[in-house]
Amino acid sequence: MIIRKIKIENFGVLRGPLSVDLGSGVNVISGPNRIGKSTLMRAVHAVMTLRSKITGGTRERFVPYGGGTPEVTLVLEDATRSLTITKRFGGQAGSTTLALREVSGGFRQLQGTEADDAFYEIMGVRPAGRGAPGDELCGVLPLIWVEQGTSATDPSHKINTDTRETLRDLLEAETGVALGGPDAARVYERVQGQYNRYYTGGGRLTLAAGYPYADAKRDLDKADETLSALRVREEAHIAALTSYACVSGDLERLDAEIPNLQGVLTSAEERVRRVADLSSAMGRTESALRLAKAESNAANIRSADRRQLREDVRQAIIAVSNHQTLAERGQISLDSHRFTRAQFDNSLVVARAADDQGRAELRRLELERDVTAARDQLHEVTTQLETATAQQLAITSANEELERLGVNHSDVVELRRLHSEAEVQRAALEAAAARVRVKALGDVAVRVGDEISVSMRAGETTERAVARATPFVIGELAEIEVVPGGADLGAMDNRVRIANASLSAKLRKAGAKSLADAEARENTRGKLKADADTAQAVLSQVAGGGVQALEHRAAVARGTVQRLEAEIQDVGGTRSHAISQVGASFETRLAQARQGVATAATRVQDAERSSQAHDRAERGLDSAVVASRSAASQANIQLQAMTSRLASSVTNVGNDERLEEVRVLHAETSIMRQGALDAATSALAAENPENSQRSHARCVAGLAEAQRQRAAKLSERDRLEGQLTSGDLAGMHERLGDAEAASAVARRVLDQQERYARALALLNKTLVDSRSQTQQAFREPLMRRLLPLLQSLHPGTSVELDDDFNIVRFARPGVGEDSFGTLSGGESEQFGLVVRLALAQVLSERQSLPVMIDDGLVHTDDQRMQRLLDILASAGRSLQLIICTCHPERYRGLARTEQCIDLESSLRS
Amino acid sequence: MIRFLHTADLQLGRAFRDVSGDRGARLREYRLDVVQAIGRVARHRQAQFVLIAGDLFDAHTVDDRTITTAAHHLSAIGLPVLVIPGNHDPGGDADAVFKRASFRAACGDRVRVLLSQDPVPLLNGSAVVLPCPLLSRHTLRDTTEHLTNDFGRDVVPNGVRIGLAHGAVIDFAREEEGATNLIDANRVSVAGLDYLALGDWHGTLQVHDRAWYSGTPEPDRFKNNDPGNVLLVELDGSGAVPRVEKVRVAHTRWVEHEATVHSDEDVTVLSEWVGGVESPTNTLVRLTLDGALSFEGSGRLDTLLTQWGNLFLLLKREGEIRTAATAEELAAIATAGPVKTAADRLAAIAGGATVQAGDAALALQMLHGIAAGGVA
Repeated sequence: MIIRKIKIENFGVLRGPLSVDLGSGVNVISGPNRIGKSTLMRAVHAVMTLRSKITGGTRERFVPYGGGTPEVTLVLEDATRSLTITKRFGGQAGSTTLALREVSGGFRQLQGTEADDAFYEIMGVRPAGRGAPGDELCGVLPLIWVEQGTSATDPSHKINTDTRETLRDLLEAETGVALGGPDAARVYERVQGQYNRYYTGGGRLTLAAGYPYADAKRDLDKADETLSALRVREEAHIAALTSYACVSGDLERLDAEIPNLQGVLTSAEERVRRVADLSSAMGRTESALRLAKAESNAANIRSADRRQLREDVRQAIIAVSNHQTLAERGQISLDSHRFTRAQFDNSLVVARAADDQGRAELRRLELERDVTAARDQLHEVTTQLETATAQQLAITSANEELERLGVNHSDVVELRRLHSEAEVQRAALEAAAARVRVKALGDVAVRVGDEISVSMRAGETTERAVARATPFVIGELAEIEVVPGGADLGAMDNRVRIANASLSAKLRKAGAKSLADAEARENTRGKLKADADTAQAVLSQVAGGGVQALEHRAAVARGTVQRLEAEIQDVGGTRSHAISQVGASFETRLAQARQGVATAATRVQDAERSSQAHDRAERGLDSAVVASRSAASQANIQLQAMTSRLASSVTNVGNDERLEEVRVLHAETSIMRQGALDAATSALAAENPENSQRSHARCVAGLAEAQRQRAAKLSERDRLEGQLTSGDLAGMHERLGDAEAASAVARRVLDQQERYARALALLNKTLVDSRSQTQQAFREPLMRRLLPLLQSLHPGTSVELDDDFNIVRFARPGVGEDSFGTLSGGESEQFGLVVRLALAQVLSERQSLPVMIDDGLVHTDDQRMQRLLDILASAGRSLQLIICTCHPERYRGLARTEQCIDLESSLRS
Repeated sequence: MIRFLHTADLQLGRAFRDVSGDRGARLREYRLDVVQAIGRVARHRQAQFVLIAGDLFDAHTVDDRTITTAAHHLSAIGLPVLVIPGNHDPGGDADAVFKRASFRAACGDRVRVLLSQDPVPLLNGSAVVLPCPLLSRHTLRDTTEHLTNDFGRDVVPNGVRIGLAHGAVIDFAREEEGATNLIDANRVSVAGLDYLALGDWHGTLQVHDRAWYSGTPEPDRFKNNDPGNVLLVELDGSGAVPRVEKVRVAHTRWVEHEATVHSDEDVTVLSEWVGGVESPTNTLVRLTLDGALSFEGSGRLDTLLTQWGNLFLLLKREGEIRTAATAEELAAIATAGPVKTAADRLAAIAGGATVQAGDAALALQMLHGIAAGGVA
């Protein structure tokens, strides 16, 4: 149903009368502020929702300033009818007139309350009791009526119960999908309630106290805890029983084992005792044996001593006899020896005389040879001394000549250097000096400078090098001064003079007239030096130690000759006797003399050795005699002592036969006791004492260990008995059984609860899924209308609505999800308008009413505005849109010209 | 003639893992009461003594009240009671129950626990009991191996010879590797026994013309091997064939039942079976169920099972009843909308073979309950 005409008079600022014609689709009513756009909308709203007889503040707000009765007429129509309703809000005097005209031709006119009610029914509005109706009573109007300043609010908040049911009816009718109504909601609620008793919001089984699953689980835990504690006790009991059985078995074994060990120990002890007895007996036997052996040894010793003593006596008698015989024989030999001693003395005297004679001859010959040699040596030294003296004189003479010559080699070398320097300087001066050549044309005296005068004959030529200004006086005729032009000639000349001066000074110092003189003297010096060196060499050869040494040697040689000549005289020769030459005969004589001396000396030595040997033999013989006599005396003394001892022994221990009897007796006793000892040793070895001791120790230790173990086992058994018979075990069997039964019951209950919870979860999920899918299908017509509008506004945007058509969230690409409350102002009015249009389109299937928008797009930017204009134009194809604005330019082109209403013009007209 | 009672395996103080609380206590009380029942039989049938072939107690750690009560009941029989320890109460253990002061204080002179193999003459030498006590829980030896034809004749040369032992006869355990406490059944002949009173097998069983297991006098498991008896044995003299009579003394019955339910009629049949159980409050039932029921049928069965669980001393359920919603039950959840969609999906899962089938069936049942206005 669309509004075709609005007539207003005396309504608020619109005193009117005002008549506005509207068309289907988009209508834009514009005008400046306070011209009455919102008042116009309120007037239309008042007609649609209020009884004409309203009173109080609501009506008072309609009454214009200055008074008057507000009156509003609407003309509406749809495809089947048209109606005109006029309401005069005159308080109790108010009136309503409704004229209904069917397309089919029917007509009806109603007045008053009947007209109000009929119109309410058509509008889907329920009458209010007193005052203005709230949104809940106004059907779809709150949704499609956008008052100024409310465009940015959530449109779903304007869906009242009636509208919601209408929407559901329409969507059910369109989709054929049923939501189930209140019965289904009740089922949801109860299932959810049950579900919440088992599950948390996160979908986990709730373990909070007071909830059935948690209580069942706690009961089971408690029962299991009790059961577990009892089982632990039971296991301990069983373990103790097992231990007790083991300990009892061990005790039985030990009780059986200990007597056996004791028996074994007794046997071991008997064996040890037996060994001890044997050892003791053997000790005694050993003592007796030792005693017997000692006695036997003593008897043996005594017998041996007796035999030895008798042998010693016999030997002593023989020794005495022998020593006496030797003494007698020695005395005879000594006497004989002493008789031959004089013969040896004579022979020695003869030999010594021959030796003295030979030695004197040999000495004389040797002295002769020595004096001859000394004389020859004296002569040779004397000769050398003469030669040396002559050479000494020659050297002295040469040295004196050398001293006289004065120039030495270094002087010559220096002179040569200076001369060479003077020559060089002179050559350089001459090379640089002017060369003056004078040719005498006639005889003439030419004086050069102040010193040189030359007489020249005609035709002669003389040439001079002139290094400084030099006058040439030619006779009397002319004086020519030659001045050389060289710059350094003066210096060069000076250097020549210095060099010459140095040379002259050196010549004077060396004592030479010139360099040639010096060089000649040096040659002479060389020759003299060679002569002196030769004399020196000869001197050195003749007298290496010098002349004095030769003189000393000559004196010594003379002394030697004199001494030898004196010795010759001493040995019987004459001082002058000397051989002239030491020849072969002399040497033969000398050798023979030496041989004779050697032979005589040998003979003397032989005679002396013979005498000495004889003396030694004599002393030996004498000593032997003395010794023999002494030995005989000693042997006799010993013999006496032995004889005395033998007599004493016989007196003390018996004669030899008795000694033998005793010895045999003790020997037999020893043998007998040794046999007894051997037998005891064998018996003891058979017992193996060490094994017996070890075996005994093992038995003692084994028995002690067994007894210790038994004591420990007894203690352990007592402990286990105490544990096994403790009071808390009584009734444990029943308590364990009860606990197991209680645990089983609790387990069954928990199993039931778990199964119930699983079934409930499945039921809840199945219901939620079914409901979600149903609702999705149910809302499809609405979403089919809404989504294109949203896409036009914000491409990619989706929206989620809940069962009550509330906006849950928007989702936009690149932005994410937003609830309506988080949208910006512009977005809120844009999205709100789009949602309203979509809902209005759905609702228009049953009841199409104009969508009224009073300045609803005040925050929208120009870009979005253009998109909204497209959306409004689109919506206008199925809905009547009445837009009030003070900015008509923003809606330009949206409505047809005749549907763009300038309210101000309308008021004027 | 000699007349005596032979019993074994009372296992007094036994705890039942599947039975908790008061019912478990009742079961233990019944086992004590059966001692009194044995005493009544003994006196009524003029038995001259009672033999207990091992396992009088279930464990050494039973509580003192059980021991005292048992000893008191045994003493109250008024006849000689000869007891050998078995593998549950071996006599050699340090904490052997027979050594407990509470037992010794209450059992009096007539109750004798035989911890040695020494022959025990009875009835002025007209009979001799040859005990074969178990001193440890397990032994690889035959505890009767000391029984020869001469054994005990120095004590009682010509009396009736009665062996008393606890263990499995070798024929039983032939298939069991490493079996312990074995007894050679031929010992009866070898040892010249007139009767061998055996314990360990919980059902009444004759293993030789002169050897019997009395079985436990009070059943303790779902095994149908004729437990719950004592044996009244009569012997006319040495060499005579014993006459053995089973006398029932048990308080409880252990019953197994299997049923398949697919309909209300099946549930009704099961209910009728339960109604026919004799002395249900002293009966323990192992009920194995199979099949599938509608929500309604399943709910009804659950209600009945709860009632039966309260009725029987024990109702042990095994097997599983699947729930299979009928078309009406599914429609009752929702006819349209997401709830119906969910119900259809759960029904599909429940009808499949995945691991979630059971959960889905329960979820569907819960949904049905919620949609019907109840709680899940």
